[in-house]
Amino acid sequence: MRSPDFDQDLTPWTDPGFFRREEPVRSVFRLIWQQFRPPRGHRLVPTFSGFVLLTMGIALVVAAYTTANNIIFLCLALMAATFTVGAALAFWNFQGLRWRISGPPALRVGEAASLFLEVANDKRMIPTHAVLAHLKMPGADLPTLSLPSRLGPGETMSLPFVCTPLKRGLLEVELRELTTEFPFGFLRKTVAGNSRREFIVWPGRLPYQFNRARRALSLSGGQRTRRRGAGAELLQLRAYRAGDSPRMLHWKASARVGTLLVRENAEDTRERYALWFDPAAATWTRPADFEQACRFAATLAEDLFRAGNLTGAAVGGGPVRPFRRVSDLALFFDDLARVMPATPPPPAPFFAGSPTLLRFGPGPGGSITLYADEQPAGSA
Amino acid sequence: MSNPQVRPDSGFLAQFAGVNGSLIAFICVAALFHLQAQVLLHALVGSLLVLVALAFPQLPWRTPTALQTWGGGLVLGLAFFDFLLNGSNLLPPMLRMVVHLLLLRVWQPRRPREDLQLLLLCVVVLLISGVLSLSLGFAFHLILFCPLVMAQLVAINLRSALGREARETLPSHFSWPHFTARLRSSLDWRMLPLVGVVFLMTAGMAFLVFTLLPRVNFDSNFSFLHMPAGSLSGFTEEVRYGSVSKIMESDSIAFVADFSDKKPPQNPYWRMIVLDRYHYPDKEAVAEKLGAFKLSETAKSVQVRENAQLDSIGLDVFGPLKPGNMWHIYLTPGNSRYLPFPGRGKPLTFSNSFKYFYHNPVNVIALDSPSSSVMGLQYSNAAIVDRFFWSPDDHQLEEGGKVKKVGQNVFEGFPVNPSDLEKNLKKYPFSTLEYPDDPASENILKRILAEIAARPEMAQAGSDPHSTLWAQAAVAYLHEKHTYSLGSVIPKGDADLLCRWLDSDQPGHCELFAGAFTLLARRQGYPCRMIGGYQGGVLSDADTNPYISVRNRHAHAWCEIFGKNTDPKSTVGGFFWFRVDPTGGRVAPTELASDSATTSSLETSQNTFSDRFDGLRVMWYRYIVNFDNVSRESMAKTAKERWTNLSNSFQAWLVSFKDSLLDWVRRPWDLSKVGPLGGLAALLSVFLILMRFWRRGWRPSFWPKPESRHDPIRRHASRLLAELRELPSDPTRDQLTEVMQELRFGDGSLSPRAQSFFGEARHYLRQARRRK
Repeated sequence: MRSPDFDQDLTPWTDPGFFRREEPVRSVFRLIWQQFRPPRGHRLVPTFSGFVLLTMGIALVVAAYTTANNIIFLCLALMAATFTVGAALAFWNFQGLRWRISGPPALRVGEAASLFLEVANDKRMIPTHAVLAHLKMPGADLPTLSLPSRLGPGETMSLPFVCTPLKRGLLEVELRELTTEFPFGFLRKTVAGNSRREFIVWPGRLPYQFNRARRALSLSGGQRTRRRGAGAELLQLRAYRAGDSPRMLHWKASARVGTLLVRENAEDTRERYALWFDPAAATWTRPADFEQACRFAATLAEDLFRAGNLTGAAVGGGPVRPFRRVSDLALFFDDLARVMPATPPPPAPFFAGSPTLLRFGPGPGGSITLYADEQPAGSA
Repeated sequence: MSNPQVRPDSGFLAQFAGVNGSLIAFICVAALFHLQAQVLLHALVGSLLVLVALAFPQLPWRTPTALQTWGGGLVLGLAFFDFLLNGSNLLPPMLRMVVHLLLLRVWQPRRPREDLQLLLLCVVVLLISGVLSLSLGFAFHLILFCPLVMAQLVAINLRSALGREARETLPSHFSWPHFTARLRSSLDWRMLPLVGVVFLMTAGMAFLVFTLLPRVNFDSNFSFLHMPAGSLSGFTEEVRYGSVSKIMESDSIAFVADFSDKKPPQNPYWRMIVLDRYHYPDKEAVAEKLGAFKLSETAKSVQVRENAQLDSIGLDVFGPLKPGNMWHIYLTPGNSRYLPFPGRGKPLTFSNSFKYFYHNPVNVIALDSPSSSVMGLQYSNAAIVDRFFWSPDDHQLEEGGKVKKVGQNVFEGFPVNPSDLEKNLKKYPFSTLEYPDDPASENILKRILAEIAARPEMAQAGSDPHSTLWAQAAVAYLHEKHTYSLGSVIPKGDADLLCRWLDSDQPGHCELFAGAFTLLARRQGYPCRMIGGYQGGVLSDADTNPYISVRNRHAHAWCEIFGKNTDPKSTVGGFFWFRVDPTGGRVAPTELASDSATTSSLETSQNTFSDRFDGLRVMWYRYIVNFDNVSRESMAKTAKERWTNLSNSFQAWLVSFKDSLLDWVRRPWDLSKVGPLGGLAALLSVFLILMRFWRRGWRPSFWPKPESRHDPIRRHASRLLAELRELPSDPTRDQLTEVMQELRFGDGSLSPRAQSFFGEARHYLRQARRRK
């Protein structure tokens, strides 16, 4: 399974650091040294079956030396050989393997997101089997991932896992270690994951009330914007460009000037809002209210942007972000994800075009009140 | 790249573990057939049950829950009573218990944990059968067992790694065609050589560990590890008419003899049982006058020993012993409780712990019962001898008096007290004078003795011939009158069977020849005893590591006659039991079956399948069963010698090559000398150029381009891809990486333009290196 192309080259790959083809001589010496002093996080310990086998081996040693029977010595030798070859193959199972964590650029609090552990096998001939990946994230358990089948030479496999962040901010997902009991299950080989990925977690959504009707009355309705749109009013004529819809051709004008002209209409009149999240510590005395306000701001900004009513937004004393495309919303969410109560209070930003300024304040009983041009307009 | 859809899933792994587990269990239960003991019935029934489970793998998944719950308790309860009933020997009940547990596991639905338990039980069963039997068959079972167990462990491990659900889920159905098709499609055939290498690596490492493990011989082995068995072939202490020829009908191996000095005897007589008495064992035998030779009770005056070496067997009266000469004799299980004895050798050691008896009057070694495992004996300074020095018991033959019974005043100068003879005829050594004294038999014996006495050889001896001279004449007489054949028709009559044969001109086999000779010698007054054993064998590897395989068809009977040593060359005087082989057509009579026979009685190996199998058997005995510190030192010494030889030969070759090269260079240069050199260089250049094209994917039009990863285009793309991955990301690098990935893993549509892409990639990599 391949992961969606979120950010293929943003996260570097990690490998066990056994052997690098570009420096073979040093790698051989490092490999030998690692047998005596394994790198941090690398372990080779017997499993329960391995302990049973070791106990059986000790019993066989006693029996062999007591009876001087070569058949027991032979079985003992086979057992020791199986153990040793098992250890070598477990080591080789990780050779040429590399991995990284990938996922969407941002997550939202309370919403399940699919992340991926990408595992690639760079070996030329030998597949990798039965590798378990142990992931870790603060405040929640993550499943142990396993390769569903062998990972052939040159293949890459993405192991999906679901993560539900519990709080906004930066979330670090770490691949703690990879283990394998391949091939015989007597030894567990562990290598350090050494792979972590930070995801930004946007505030989650919440239900709210926003009294638009009341605000609409107070607005200067019927204003036209100078922005191009699908409204009825003609904004201007311009020369035809490839890809323009034929329905937009202004035939009369085209006939008059002898070249094709198309209509450009103005956008219809609508409500225009600007959103400012004020993180002043003096305003937000309770952390819960602050978090609630962040969620309210995020939810409202998303809804207004989708309705095309949001012209800009700012968090604290940060830059005013004009909202033209989805990435503007994402940047605002990023700001909301990182914002902390601030002292002293930041100055209010200036929004061009005199939109209705929306801001938030603590309300009664742990609620959050929305103010439009300093008038209460909703709550959450 | 292989198709992910055919990769083994948990259901298939469970099916594989089920089938493979049953197969492993069958191999282990079948190994019990090597134990000729109380578990044979279990081996038979167990094998059948496991075979049924193997043929219908879905049946164990439907086992009643009650059996799964209570089965273990039931088996342990049965085992408790079994131990109570067989308290004297704990091994058979223990083995039966393990087999019951194994069968229970085979017939239960198995998850990975139960699969591992089954493997553990299989190991125990196989190990016990190997330890007790020591047979080559065990080696074959082990060779089959190891790869299957490795595959099983891998399957269990893969199934466990797929998670708890995969571990706990059992397949709902099974069909052999579907399973085999799935198995074929799941196997990555390209991996098979690699798997073979891993297996060889494991075997090599096991060999290394086995060789390097130090051996300590405490000489305090557990007799616990000895399971008695019944005698299936070989000699018993009573040999009736036809017993030896019955043994000869079998071609199975009786024992194998290995010689450390690499000098096998040319005419070996492997002495196993000495039969001093001749009697009619029951009424039927009396009625039919069918006598039997047996070892008398008095000859069994024994030394019973356990866990120790015999001090000596035989006396060193035949010259100095050759130090370091060691004979190893390996008896197959259930052969006989009597052990082959070459005639001289000391000390005698056993590779296992056994309670044994040494019947010193007749120099016979016996176990308390036939061994169920391969029995290893060692004789140091061993040799086949054709005579035995008399034992203290034989001195009774010297005491005074007349031998009234046989009507002779004196034989060989040993007057025997007649009262002792009458009284003690059933006791050793007087039992060596026992013969049928009914008138009919007596008449025949007297007549034939008279004929022997009238022979020209006896005329030279005068009125008092010594026993060996008489034996020569008697053997010559028998050879003249009777030919050798395994089939003979003995005429009816009142006399003893052997006497009737003597009186006839029927051919006969070794039993008839030896028996008749014994009776004639005794009637003549010479103490004589019949010997049962083996003669000859098949000599293999005569030039390198000779060994003799003795089969049951080499079973033989001969005699030992008591007499004074008259050999002028011998420095030892006194009385001996001389070996006489009266059987016609086997050994020249004049040599009296001496080991100094000019012609070898050994068959040579014909390199048949059977001989090769024997060779394997000997290797198994030499390098596994009998491997000890001495063997290890010997192996190290041999390895060192071979390495030194190799090194010396290589050095010599180098010097010779250098000389010839210098000689070639110094000779005048002309066209005939330069031509081949230039041709060789041209060929090499063409080869290198072709190789370069080949690596870049060029093929003649008739040569199809390979689709696999071994396609040079894919390989080259893989190399470039690996180098590109190491560089930091930029648009060109990313674009080239995508193209290389397409060339490496794609469907080959870009292959026609591969060279141009490779060129771009190489150019980019060169630039990147310069920037560094």
